Amino acid sequence: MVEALRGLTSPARLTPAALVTGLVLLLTTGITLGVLVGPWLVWLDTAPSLKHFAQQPTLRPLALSLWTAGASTALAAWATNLILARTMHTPRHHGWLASALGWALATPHLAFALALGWLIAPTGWLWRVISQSTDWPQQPLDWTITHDPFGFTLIAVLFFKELPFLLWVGLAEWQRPDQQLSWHRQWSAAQTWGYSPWRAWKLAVAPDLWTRLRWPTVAVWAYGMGVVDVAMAIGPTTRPTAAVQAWRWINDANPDIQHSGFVLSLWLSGLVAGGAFVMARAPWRALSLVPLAQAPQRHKPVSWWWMKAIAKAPASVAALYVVLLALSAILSLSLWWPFPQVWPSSWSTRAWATVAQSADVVVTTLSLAVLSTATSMLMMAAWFEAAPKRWFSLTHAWALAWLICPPLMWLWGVYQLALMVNLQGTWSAVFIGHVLAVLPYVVLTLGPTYASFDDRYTQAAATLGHGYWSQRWQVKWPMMAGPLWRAAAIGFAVSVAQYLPTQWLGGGRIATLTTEALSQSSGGQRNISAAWALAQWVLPMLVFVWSTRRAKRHNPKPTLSKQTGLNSSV
Amino acid sequence: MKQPPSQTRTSAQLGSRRLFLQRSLALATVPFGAHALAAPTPWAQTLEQSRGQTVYFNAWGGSDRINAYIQWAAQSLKRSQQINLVHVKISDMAQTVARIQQELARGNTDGTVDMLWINGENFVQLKRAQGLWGPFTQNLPHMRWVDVVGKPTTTIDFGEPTDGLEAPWGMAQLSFFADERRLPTAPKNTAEWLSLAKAQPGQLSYPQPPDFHGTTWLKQWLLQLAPDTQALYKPWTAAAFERATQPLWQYLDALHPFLWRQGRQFPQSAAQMRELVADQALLIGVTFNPNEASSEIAAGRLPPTVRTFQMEGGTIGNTHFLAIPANARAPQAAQVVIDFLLSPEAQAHKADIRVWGDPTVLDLNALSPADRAAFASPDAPGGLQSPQPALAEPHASWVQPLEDAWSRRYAA
Amino acid sequence: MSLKLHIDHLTSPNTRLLQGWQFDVAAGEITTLMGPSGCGKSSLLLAITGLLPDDFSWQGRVWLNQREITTLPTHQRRVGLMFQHDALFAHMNVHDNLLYATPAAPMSERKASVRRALADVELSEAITLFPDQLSGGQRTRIALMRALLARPEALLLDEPFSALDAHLRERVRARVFAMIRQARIPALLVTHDPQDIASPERVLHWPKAATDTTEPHV
Repeated sequence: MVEALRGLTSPARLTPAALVTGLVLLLTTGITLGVLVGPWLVWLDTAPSLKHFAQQPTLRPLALSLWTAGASTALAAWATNLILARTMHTPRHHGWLASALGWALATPHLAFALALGWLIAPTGWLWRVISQSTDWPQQPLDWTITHDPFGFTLIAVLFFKELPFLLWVGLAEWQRPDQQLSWHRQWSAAQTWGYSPWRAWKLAVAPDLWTRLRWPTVAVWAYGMGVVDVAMAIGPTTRPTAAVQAWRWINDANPDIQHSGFVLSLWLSGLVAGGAFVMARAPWRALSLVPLAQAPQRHKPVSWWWMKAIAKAPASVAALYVVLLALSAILSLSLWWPFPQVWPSSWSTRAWATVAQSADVVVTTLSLAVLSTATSMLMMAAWFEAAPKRWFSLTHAWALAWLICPPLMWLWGVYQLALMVNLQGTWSAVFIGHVLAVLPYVVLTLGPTYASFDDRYTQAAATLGHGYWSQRWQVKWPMMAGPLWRAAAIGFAVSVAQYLPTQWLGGGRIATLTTEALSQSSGGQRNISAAWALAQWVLPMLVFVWSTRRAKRHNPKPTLSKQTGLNSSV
Repeated sequence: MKQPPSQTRTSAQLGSRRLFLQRSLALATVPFGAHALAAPTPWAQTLEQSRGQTVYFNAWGGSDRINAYIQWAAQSLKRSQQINLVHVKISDMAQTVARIQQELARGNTDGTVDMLWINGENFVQLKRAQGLWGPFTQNLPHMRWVDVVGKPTTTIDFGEPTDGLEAPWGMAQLSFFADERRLPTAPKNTAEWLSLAKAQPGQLSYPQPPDFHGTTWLKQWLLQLAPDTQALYKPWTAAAFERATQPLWQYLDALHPFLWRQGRQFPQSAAQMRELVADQALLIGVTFNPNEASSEIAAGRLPPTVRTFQMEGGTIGNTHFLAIPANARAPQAAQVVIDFLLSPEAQAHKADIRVWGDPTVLDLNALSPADRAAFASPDAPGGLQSPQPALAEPHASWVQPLEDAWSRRYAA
Repeated sequence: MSLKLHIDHLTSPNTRLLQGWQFDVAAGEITTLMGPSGCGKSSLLLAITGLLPDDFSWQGRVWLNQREITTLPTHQRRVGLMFQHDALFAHMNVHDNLLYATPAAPMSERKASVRRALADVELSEAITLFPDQLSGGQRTRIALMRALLARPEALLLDEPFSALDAHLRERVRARVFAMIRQARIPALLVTHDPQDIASPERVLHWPKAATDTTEPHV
């Protein structure tokens, strides 16, 4: 600790970085404390009664949340496992997969959910196609497909959105050079013992891989539990998930009901933490016990049909994304599109005219995204520059904890703080909320980059007579340009997709593409809804493409071979 | 959201029209009420002070046409008065009411809301909590054109006198619309609704309370089914509630299995219902604006065979209002905005079915012939064929218990 | 011009590497420092340049041309360091790598000195290539030119030829020594390979008695 502090104050690292670092430390500590302690203080201050909460059936919303989040996480993990096992055969597909995954990741959850709704709802495009080709159904079926009470559609949306994420993280782990070789060797060795490729995967690679992927899986679980906008767009309405129920109560006029919302979100956070603990501690290595229990069956033919199906899976998911994008585009340009027409009866650009009229919404979204991403990156770059490498894992852990905490919880505290300084309903409060939302993602993407950067480059620059700033501007940061741009793109996408911070801290006065898309989706006019959803979709997409281009330009092969750094097997 | 309540015209009130007139005029001339934050200034001064100010107008944003109208108003105000009118789109007025009360509790004088589109129990709640700025309607030059005599609900809101704390904006009456081709004969009463539902299951529904359309649908059915409607106009008591709602719950229990999604899921708004009608998933849509179907046909979003109808005996009608919170940052500018919205020009534009189609609160006979001509709109298909009388809104205190009871029974 | 060194102690996280030593290196002289691998030679070089990691510690003083540089930050010491691996910047081509090292001057002058340096090592055609397109020997020569272009007042070399094949090592070594002597600056070469000795009369051996433990581990 003493050495670390001494390191911080050594001449080469003093003024700018250490000051900002100190500021960041204070800020985040303050906000964390405020967030955790604030609501309790308010609670003690106003001493509301728990009468309302006691009367409400809270078991059902919590159970529903557990079910939807748990099922979608488990499905996504299972599918990831299968797909990764399959792509072991064909590593040349990895390039295509990686770039396709990037596109999928840049898609906001809400736009995807709305578009899927337009596809599979009884009045949706899928049923129109069926109606045209088979003459049934004549009228929209009275089936509860979207907003179904058990959340199956919600699970589907979460699954299709989280699968690319887990795949992407899995691929990233896979592509680490030392990892890939050792896993491949073990997998091949297992096959020489008579295990089929699939069993060999389960024996040799899966336990190790999933031990590394456990924190991303926890993040997926936490998101599924805490999500509000997607659940409102496509999840159950009359008896909603716990997050939606808590959000509804928080927005009520009655203070007692508001505090019921707080208590419910406490319960929700407790469940998330419990699940996270179980998943983190789970003996993933036990996955290898299953194939071990079965003796290798040398002569059993490998069933290829389902392997082929798995191989097609990524392409099918990608196709789904493309179909939904196209559907949204057509919908946004339609005027009168009754059931069971497959194409719109009349077209109009009126929906886009409405969007264009509200250009200030786009400007607000852009300004929030760009500034919050820039601020987060500056803060974290300053932190990583000044902090000793030993602290990186701590920072990583903090970011994960923040990510796992449901937004409902920490937004409570930020809102109370905003009320205290009379910032509620202003752009500044929303900006702070967005910075806090983007920060963990920036940490998780910048951290490994900083950890794996070889300091000998900056040392060389120093011996050539270049000072602190020149070392960074001309050597270090250009070398990290790829990951830096990627982190910026991710931060941008995260900010654009934020719903709760904007609504809660902005008091409804700050409108972004996401809030508009959600409010329009219940407003009934599908073409306007589609226009907003598409706008929300396209913006991070464009930024993602642009940043990928820039990242590709700066893609040097490192000259120093022995890369040291933190083993980020968190 | 609790939408602006509708004024009703019962036979009892028709007889005491003069009393209402006298009372409202008296109230309008009371410059200072218990609301000590009010300090009326001469109108020219108000206009001067309000130049360049920004007014945050919290209003329901669920209808594209209404949003477009508010944009038009904002543009006009920017041109003529240099006032920035910002439409804060909300889905539930109760949230805004909550926020205002929170701010007032903190002694906040710099509120986030300058103007509200409000009525009914929300108005009553704010008024009782001293949360409204004013009285101010007596300051507005255009207030004198409002038809307080012919439309008594412009001064009495869900049984509560407005006391000059809110200005009437438009008239509303619960109406229904359906495609003639799919529904040749419209149901006229609750019994016919039930038989229609049984004949064509899965084709009827109503918006989920507490959406204000849904709540009003519920109130309408309550009025039709309650044994003693007089009790509904008196303040709520648990015993009266039990007695009055028992037939309603029986009816709904019988009706729900034949509704869309078997009554387990409800459309979230009237606008969503309209989309479902357009998609032929539902037979009948709900609206507060008797001209809505005409507007939608004109905009090409409904087929021209859609017709509007009301229930025999009358449907609930009311006025919706504009008010200013007590801690508004720009009350002067808010007054100017409200005055503009009461002008014949703005009211005529609002009543135009190509724009919004919302009926006006002004007394057309009191206007100059030129102004009156602006209200003449061509006959449009889809309009209301046989208008029914507007029924009085039940007392404001009945709304919350009704919504809670419905939620407990059907949404818990 | 000379480099003078006075060391009280040099300590790694685990052991004491050096206790009380001093020596100096004269201008134009290439002093070879020999010692078993792991004894701390590289750490000594890092200490001289001011790049010693936080968990190491050392006490001592360094003079360069009668100017004490012990407390100066690295980039102000004017001491060059050639690493075991060349540490060329992968995102810059050869020209920019070398340009980066040239001291402040009008741009045309700097570019001219880059071209001269490349001509000196007969690598002018590599001017637009990137480091990953060069061979090992080419990279070592470029790295040396880069270190010399910065006009250091002393040059430290940390086993710079160990990455090269045997037959290449001879040629590159001779070239490197010729250039250093031409530049007339003191140079300290650290190696464990006796073949790398520049001049037999200036060889220093790592003091054996200075270590506490028997088997130093680095």
